[in-house]
Amino acid sequence: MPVAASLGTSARQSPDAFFNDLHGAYRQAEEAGGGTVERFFRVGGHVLRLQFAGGSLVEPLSAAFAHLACEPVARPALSVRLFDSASTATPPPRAPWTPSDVREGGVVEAWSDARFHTVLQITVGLLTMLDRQRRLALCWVRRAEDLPMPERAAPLRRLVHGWMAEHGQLLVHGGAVGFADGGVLLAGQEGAGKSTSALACLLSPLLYASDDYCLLHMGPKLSVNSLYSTGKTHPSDLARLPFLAPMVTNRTALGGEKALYLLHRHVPHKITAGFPLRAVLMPRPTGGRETLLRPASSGAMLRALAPSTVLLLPQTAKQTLSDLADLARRVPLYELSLGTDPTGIPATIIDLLAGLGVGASKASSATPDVSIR
Amino acid sequence: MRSQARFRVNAPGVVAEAVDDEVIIINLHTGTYYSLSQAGAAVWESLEAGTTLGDAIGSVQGHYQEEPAVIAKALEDFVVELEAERLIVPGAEDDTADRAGDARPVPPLVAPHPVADQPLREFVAPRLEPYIDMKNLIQLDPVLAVDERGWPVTERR
Repeated sequence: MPVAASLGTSARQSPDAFFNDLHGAYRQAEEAGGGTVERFFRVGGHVLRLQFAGGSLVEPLSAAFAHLACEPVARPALSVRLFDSASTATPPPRAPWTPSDVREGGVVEAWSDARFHTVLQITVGLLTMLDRQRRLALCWVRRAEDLPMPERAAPLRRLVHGWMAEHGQLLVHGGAVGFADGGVLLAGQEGAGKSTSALACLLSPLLYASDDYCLLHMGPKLSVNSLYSTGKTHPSDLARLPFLAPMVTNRTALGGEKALYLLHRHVPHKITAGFPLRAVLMPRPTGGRETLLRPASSGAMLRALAPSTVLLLPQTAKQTLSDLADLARRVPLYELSLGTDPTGIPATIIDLLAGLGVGASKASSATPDVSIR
Repeated sequence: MRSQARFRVNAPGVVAEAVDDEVIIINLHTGTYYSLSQAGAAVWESLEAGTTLGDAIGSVQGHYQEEPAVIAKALEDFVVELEAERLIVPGAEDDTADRAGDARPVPPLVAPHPVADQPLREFVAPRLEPYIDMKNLIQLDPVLAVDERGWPVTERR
């Protein structure tokens, strides 16, 4: 029974001790759930192993990574062990923190340091805890059925953010489309048209890396790495992009949430693992028919990309903001004034990339390239 | 005027970055972000670098077509706004001696000096305009109730 009480009033437990207790609960869940289901993915060039206690979390928390599936390896860069309480009848250990320990972004402050990264998403009912030293993370979910659509579209993103930062890759709030030899990042706040722009490109020779979150590798050569092969739109956008209708996975829930697409199941040939980054575009709906490009300022790019990216992991905000300012200085920046004709969006992007010497051979194909399974 | 006052960015809850002629400021506690340009950006960068308020104002005055006193008043008001939003706080070397109750008129400590070969620009008093579209991302999930093991109970349970 729920009780209106403070969290964890008992003596404070160290991150290491709590991690061990949580791992013990995972082991119990493995037995109760009838064994382990393993999945391997190559994320930003590093192998991620997901180990599920039982089967209830496999679909909701791994389907978005399907395009990155790879062969098993003996020593993955990170193993994540996941369990839920509802299907395994295994409770998590007693929570050792108080509500005031849970800070912006769900980070549990006193249980996060150079070694551990602990995030509690209260309304989702999901905890992730990363132990960088052991290259091991744990994920607890109260009940698989309660995972909301945004979590299924972009699972474990706060954990991935903490992990990939070690590898010089920044989780950014942006879409990405392009060719193997170069592409663009689509930056903008909620409602700017990132998803519509990225998904409209499925009807073109452009490849799809993301509509909402992707990894930015800030090396000598900037590149984008895909993370999720999902897409989301408002149900009303299906009128403009009717080819998406057969791909909707949450048809019965459309009254209360966005339509979710598991694109890898329908258009696997259109999904890419990534490409060199050549420009950043800021979509903006205009109501006009034509899609147009015009140069944008570095400030406009930071306003479009930085706040929502920085707030994903406030603890690294200063470095993240500095990295994004660096990005703004290194690539051309444009406002993408979106026309009502969706075919104009990929055409405009292809023209831009051609001008940058990218994708010339692919762009010559004028045939719409979406065959849906 | 608090001419000798120094300020610092209210880190770690506030982060800021300058690109070209614009400064982006993000308050990580509220999710609110701000964009500063022209005189506002210049004052921010001066204060962030540890310059006194008087010197920060003086460094701006020489770039604009306006009476120095008008510019100084507008920038002082702007700094009050920055403080009210908790984006900056008094720095360690803040000279409190000339703070409260000191309403002396401005004269800048650094005399306005026009910048050679650059035309003076029209002065627009900076204003702090918050963007609040990120607040839903940062709002902490409320803990309405917890179960017997101390874990928050989700709504759908």
